[in-house]
Amino acid sequence: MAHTGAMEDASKGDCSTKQGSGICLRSRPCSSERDSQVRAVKASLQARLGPYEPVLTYLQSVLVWERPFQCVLLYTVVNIVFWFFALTSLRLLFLLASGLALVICVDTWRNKIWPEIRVKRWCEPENESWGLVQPGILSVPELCHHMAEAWVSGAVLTSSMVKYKQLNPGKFCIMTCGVFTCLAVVGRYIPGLVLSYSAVLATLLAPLAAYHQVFQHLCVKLEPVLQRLDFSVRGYMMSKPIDNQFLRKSIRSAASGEASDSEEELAAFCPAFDDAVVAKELALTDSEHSDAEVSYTDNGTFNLSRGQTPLTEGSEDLDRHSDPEESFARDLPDFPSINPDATLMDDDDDTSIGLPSLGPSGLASPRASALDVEAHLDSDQEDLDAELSLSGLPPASDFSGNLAGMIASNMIQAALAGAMQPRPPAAPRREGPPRAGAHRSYRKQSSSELDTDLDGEDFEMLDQSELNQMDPFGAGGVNRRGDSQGSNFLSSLLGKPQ
Amino acid sequence: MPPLDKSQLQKPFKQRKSFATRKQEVAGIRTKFPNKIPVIIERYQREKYLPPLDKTKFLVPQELTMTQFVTIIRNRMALLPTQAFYLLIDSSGLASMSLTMAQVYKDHKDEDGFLYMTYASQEMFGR
Repeated sequence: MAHTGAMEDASKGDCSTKQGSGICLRSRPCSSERDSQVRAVKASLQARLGPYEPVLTYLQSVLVWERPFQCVLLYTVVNIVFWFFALTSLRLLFLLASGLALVICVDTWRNKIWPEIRVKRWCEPENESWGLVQPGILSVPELCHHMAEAWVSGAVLTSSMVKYKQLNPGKFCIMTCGVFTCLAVVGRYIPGLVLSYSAVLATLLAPLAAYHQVFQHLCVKLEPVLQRLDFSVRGYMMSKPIDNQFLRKSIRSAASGEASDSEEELAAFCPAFDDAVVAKELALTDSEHSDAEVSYTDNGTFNLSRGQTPLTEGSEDLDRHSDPEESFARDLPDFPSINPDATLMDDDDDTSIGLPSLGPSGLASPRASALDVEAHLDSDQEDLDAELSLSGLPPASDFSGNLAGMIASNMIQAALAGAMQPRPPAAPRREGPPRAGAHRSYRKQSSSELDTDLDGEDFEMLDQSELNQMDPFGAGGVNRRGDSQGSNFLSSLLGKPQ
Repeated sequence: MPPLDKSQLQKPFKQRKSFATRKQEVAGIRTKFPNKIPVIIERYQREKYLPPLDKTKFLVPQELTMTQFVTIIRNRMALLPTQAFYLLIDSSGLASMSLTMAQVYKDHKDEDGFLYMTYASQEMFGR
């Protein structure tokens, strides 16, 4: 007999995509005591309810409004019975006694009289009844399973309650008194008629709700609202330290560390957004990064620092193209002109990366080696540009002729002239080769320039922290770029041939 | 051979009832439910893993697809999603899962009017 694996997949996938009641029954693999109990109860229930499967299926289809006429009839009958008992002037004892008498009469008829007088139509014993297959409606085994589960759960709950009462009766008394007090308060203020009628209606409507999966749909509808609530709370929590932060910033000196306040810098622009925007931003995935940036610019906060500072554009591109950056960092040791020296890291972080270090180097070193260094730096920078695809930065060779490059250099000059107090004023004169160093110094300078340019400073910090947390490897690559150039500078300073 | 339970000892439906009885039964149920298809589902004789169904005769709506039908039967037997379940039509082979029951009934119905199906797990194949 031929069979295909696709069939198996189909039949396996069916269970999850069951329509209607949507409950995929499965016997639990672990056969505990509870499971065996469930199985026993289910078997007994199934043996009892099995012959009534057509009736049960019919009743279910009526309850879920598959037969509208019968369903209306059922609702009417239930209402009539309810209001008869609610409005009748008959006494409770009379109703109880007559009901019991009726039950006993019916039982006697069914068990004693009817088997005597009925015609033996079902002569063959193995004549089984029909099983009705209807999508969306529980079959008798499933129904029995659920009933057995509920029964066993109730039994377990009762036994545990009894055990609890025996072990600590005081707590049990307090607990039950609390529950019954709540119920008493409810019953004191809401009439019993309303309560019982709503209970009847809930009983009638519960199968319909389960059939149409109202609860799941409600959850799906409510989920965005809950998410927004959550994010609004989070936005509030994030906006909390901002008030402190601006205070702190005015107090804080210019030499604040970059990494320490990166979180606060991140939080610094949160109050500018309303909660809905924040929720949307936070719900965005990384792939939708550009949208988030658009909304940043829509907000108007970062238009200035974003569009015109070349560094921010470069950093955005760094964010966007993390893969070339990784490849760059991976291939960085293969560059011939670079000899990374780890011990020089602190030095170039302090001084040698900045432009003024190049000035003395150019003056002190032999001219040829300085040119060599510059050529290396040029090629290095071109490679960097190509690898990182810094769109805002033109290659260093045509830097002076490029308009964008001029704008960038003007920005760098202005920033350097404005804020770098210990730097010599002749530093930004050489724009082409040491541009990475200029970036570096600009970054440092802007980070020290806290009170004059808050937005740009915020963005700088954000960019740095993002780089650090997004891609430590890439950030390491950036640092190594600075190191290599610093080592180049140092080698040129020492007059070493490259 | 594993211990035989009751349904395995039971003879197949065709051998339990005569042709005339079966035909009469189909006629009765078709007049009562004209848009339902009488289906006989039985366990494969040498099946060891799948539990027996509680019923043999089923009335299936015509518009039901085989996928839905297999799902309902699986739920009825409370199978785990990892358990394989194959429904062989007329003990000959598998039907396309996208066919409706009416199409399957039209192609594969027995001469007594029933549609016979056999269910088995994967393990029984190749013996």
